[in-house]
Amino acid sequence: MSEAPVRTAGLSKSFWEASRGRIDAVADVTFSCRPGEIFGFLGANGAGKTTTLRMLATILSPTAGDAWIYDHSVLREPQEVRRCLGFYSASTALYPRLTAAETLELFARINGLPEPRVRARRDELIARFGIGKYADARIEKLSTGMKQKVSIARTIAHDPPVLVFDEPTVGLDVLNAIELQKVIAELRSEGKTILFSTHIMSEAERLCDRIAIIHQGRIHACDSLEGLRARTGLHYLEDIFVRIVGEADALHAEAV
Amino acid sequence: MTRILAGAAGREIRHLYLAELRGAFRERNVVINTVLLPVLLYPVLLWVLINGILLVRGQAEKLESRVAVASLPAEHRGILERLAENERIAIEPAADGAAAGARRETLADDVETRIAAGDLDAALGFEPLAERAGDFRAVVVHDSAREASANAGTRLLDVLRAYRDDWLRTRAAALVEPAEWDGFRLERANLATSAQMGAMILGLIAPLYFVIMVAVGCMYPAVDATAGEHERGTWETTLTLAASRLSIVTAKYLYVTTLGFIAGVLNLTAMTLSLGSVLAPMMAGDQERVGFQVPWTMLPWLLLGALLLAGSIAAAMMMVAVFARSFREGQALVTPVYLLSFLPVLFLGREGLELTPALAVIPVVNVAMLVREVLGGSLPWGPAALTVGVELALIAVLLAVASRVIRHEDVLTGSFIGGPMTFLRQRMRRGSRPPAEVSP
Repeated sequence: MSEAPVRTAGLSKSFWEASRGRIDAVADVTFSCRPGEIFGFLGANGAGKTTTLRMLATILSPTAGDAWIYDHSVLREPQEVRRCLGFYSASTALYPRLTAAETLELFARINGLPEPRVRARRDELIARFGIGKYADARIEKLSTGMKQKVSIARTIAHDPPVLVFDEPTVGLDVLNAIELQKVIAELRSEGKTILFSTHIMSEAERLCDRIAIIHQGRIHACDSLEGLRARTGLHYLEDIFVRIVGEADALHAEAV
Repeated sequence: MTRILAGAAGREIRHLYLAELRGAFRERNVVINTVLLPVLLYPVLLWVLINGILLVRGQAEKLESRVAVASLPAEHRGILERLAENERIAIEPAADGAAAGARRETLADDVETRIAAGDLDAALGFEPLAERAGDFRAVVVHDSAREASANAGTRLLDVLRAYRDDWLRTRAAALVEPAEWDGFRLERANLATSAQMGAMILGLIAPLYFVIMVAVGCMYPAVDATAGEHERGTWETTLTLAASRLSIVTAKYLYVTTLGFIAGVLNLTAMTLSLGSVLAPMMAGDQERVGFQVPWTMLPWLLLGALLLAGSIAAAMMMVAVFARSFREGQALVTPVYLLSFLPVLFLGREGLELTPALAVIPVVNVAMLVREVLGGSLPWGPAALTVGVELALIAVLLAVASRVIRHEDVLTGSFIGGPMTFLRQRMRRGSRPPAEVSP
């Protein structure tokens, strides 16, 4: 049994489009996460961050390679993987006709929390995120900030050991984004392993224990911020990112 | 299926199904299509129909009929008196030639022109018969294509018949004792009970509306459960749930079936009650009394029919709705299934049609016929069992196809562009596309 809560080996994903033919969205991605760390994916739009995280969440199936969440293969045991994982992204909306309380109960139950613990967990999350006043209101009636709180609560409703946050601050105002970052940091302190994707350098700098720089579907660097600084001789993550991506493009141009 | 519904999968399906239902009944469109429409359709339809008929009848009744009488034999002047007694009849002068005893051709030339022009509603003419002197034929001329003229013709005939009956009675009384002709009476005996009469009427009307309502009940939920999720952005959320894809599809299917079933049962109930409370009293004045009651012993078969119909229509709709990425696409894809589901039933209105083994193998038609038989209080066991078998087989095939389709990642994630035909064309062209299936 591996100690890494999350690991991948040669994870790849290709799509097919009538006009463009085969597109390699993710190619040969291999990494592993340590327990209780925030592992960041830093990349530009279309770099392959979301596709990688969707494969980890079993929403997409890899074309090649495999990934394991606590030794459960995304290919062979997708349901077990989903039980160990909470997935949050800007594109995972809440069910508008359910109330916040009903949403939390549904996610806790379906994701395998034992029935006797469901209600207690619901109440605990309602108290933690301060949504008691709106717990019985339908999601469609809630404000954006309130929906965001319910979204995070439903992500951790079944108390999973691994959490995936795919560009969670996209579309949020500064205050809500800071609030979300605080929650993510708290979750790390509770021992959760967190995969976090972003294209915002300051977020990655502030939150991530290790950062994987992903570009054109491949990981070109994976280290702590200090490690990346040492490798490039640059201080700011933005400069580091530009350098590494530039090197990757140059290598690619040479190969072509 | 039993294996699926047992254990963890059963638990998943139950929770997902209940969440779908809970959400659905908070959606106005679902409540309108599944509950309000089936319940209110018949009372409203009947109310509109009856009031429309009463309005037209009332207006026609109020109109005064302008009639002319020509060539009236002198011994039947009483007819004019009878006509004058009727407040709804106004006697207009006939043309000179006709009044003077012209032949029918003259009456036709003159009166028919006036009736056609709308100056006159009907006319009564008398033509001598060649067989015996003094005998004649009374002719009522009217224009049935014109409501007022048709009405006037009827009024004239009513007055004339009453006069003729009295005249015959008087003549007969001169020849024989009244007791002698009273020995030949005419009566009509209907062997059908009021319930059987009601069942016959219900059986002719109910199947079509029943199928339409089940289809209407399934239509919105089928689109809502598939394209609706894409549109609301909740599809990816659903895919992150630790439930198998099969459980998710099964829960959604059961949800659509439930709403179709509810719509069908409510519709049949509303129809029976509406006809019983509105139509039956209206028909009570006629010779046959009509009662609309469904035999209690047949209720399980009606419920089974509703369930089978909802199950097959839901499966067919879900199979195409999974390709939709928006409500508009969903409605465009599901509408042909909706139309196909009830079009064959349009031809079942014929009286005397029975559920035969041949009809029992035609999906939807078989259930419609089963419902019709059951409403009539009869149940042909063989074709009924065949109907159940055919419908269950159809549901199984449709669900198997739907679960195969949903394994294709592009369909599942909503990135596939096109409908079922595009999908079939693309997948049948070998090598044109790498396999993209996801684990169930």
